[in-house]
Order: sequence, then structure tokens, then C-alpha cells
Amino acid sequence: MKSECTLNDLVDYLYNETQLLKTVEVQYTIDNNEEVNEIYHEMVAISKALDDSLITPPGCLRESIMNYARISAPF
Amino acid sequence: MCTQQISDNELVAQFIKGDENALQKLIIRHEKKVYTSIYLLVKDSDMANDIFQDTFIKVINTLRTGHYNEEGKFLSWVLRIAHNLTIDHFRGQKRMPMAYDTEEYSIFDTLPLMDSNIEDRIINKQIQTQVRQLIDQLPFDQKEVVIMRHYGNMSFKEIAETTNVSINTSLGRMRYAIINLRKMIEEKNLMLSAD
Repeated sequence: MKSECTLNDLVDYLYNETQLLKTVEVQYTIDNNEEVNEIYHEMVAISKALDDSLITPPGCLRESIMNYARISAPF
Repeated sequence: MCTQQISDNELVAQFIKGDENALQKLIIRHEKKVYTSIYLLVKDSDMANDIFQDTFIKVINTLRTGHYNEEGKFLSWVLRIAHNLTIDHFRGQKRMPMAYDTEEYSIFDTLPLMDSNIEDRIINKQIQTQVRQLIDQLPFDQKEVVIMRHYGNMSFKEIAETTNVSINTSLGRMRYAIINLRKMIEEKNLMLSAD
């Protein structure tokens, strides 16, 4: 199998947005091209770092929203 | 024992019928992604708090008036509301976000730290700060796509529609964001993992 993939394809693949045929092509390229493999795994590391940076909002905000939901509820 | 998580759509339906606990479950499920998305754009905890509350008040009002028809895309819909409110905020101020945390207090100080090991906790906190600084340095349009795609789970097509650009443009912005993040990591010789 001979395949090429662009950085856009890698981004699409990273976020599971590639079509079936393209998914197979990109996976093949990642598995067989050392440079692409390295770039893809750097992307995965960046993606994980973004996941790890999620912020928890102050608990009072949820309480405030729920209070609004209660007082504005239709009878 | 197998427990199946109730879907967003089922919770939405329950809330519309009057079950406020369903709303609470939806907020708990998505609050981190919504809040992070807002905070990374406005860079101000008070402003992020206001927009976060306004977002869910709009969610509540829209659900009650029967205008919700997103069919399985609840988080994306909430993120679009948050994004529009954020843009409205900056239009009102006639400036784009440039503010930073004060030295005394950083919103990232409130991040829950899961590791019991003190050294891991310190390293994790450093990583979180580094990631925040990297995201801060991205151009606004790239930061916006990172937030919508990564935290909002919006497809590149949905991002394109929300930001009024083509799918290729939104995909390209994400590509440039990742390239820029990679460059910054290399230049600063950063480690992104405590492992």
C-alpha cells in the first residue's frame, strides 16, 4: 500500500473526522513513515496536555444557575 | 454491574418536563469544558464567571421556550451560545482579549490536583501553567478553533458555520495552532508530561 497524508489529514484523524478510506490511509502512513509517526505523536501529546488543563468553575456558579432555574420555573 | 450514563438528550427532555435535577446533571457533566472554553478566551475569572452564568441562563430560557432542536449536540450548542456571548462582550468593549491573571491569584490555582505525590502535584501545576501560556500566545482565531474543537467537541464543519469561515479555513487554523504549539514547546524545551 502506498499512501501519503497531509498535516490537515493528521488533524482530521486526530479528531476522528476522517472518512473510512482516509482513516485507513492515514493510519498506514503513521505506521510506516517515521517522520509522520513522530509528528502525530507530538499532536497526541499536545492534545493530552489540553485535556489536562480543564478548569473547574467555582461551585457557587452552579448553585446560582440552579437558583435561577428554580425561581424562573413555570407554575 | 453495568451502569449506563443517561444521554444529554434524555436529560434535556426531563428538564423540559420540569425535572431540575436533570439540568444539574447536564451542568456537572459539561461545566469544565464550557468554563475552560470561556476562560481561555476572556482571561479574566470574573468575566468568565459572568459569561458562564449568562450562557446557562440562556440555555434554561431556550429549553423552556421549546426552541432547542439540536438532536444530540447539546455541548456544541452550549459552546456556541458561550462563544456568541463572549464575542458580544468583546464587541461591547471594542477590544479583543489580552488580559492576564494577577500574580496574586490565578484561576489555575483552583484546578483539582489528583496525584497524592507532592512532587507530581508541583510538576502538574507547572505543566498546567505552561499549557495556559502556550494557548495564550496563539493568535485569537487559532485559539478559538482549539477551544471549540478540543473542549467543545465541535466538528470543523460546525466551527466553520459558527465563525463564518470555510471548513478548510477552520481546519487550517487548527493545523497552524498545533504547529505553533509544537514550535513553542521546542523553543522553550518544555515537557508536557509528569510521567
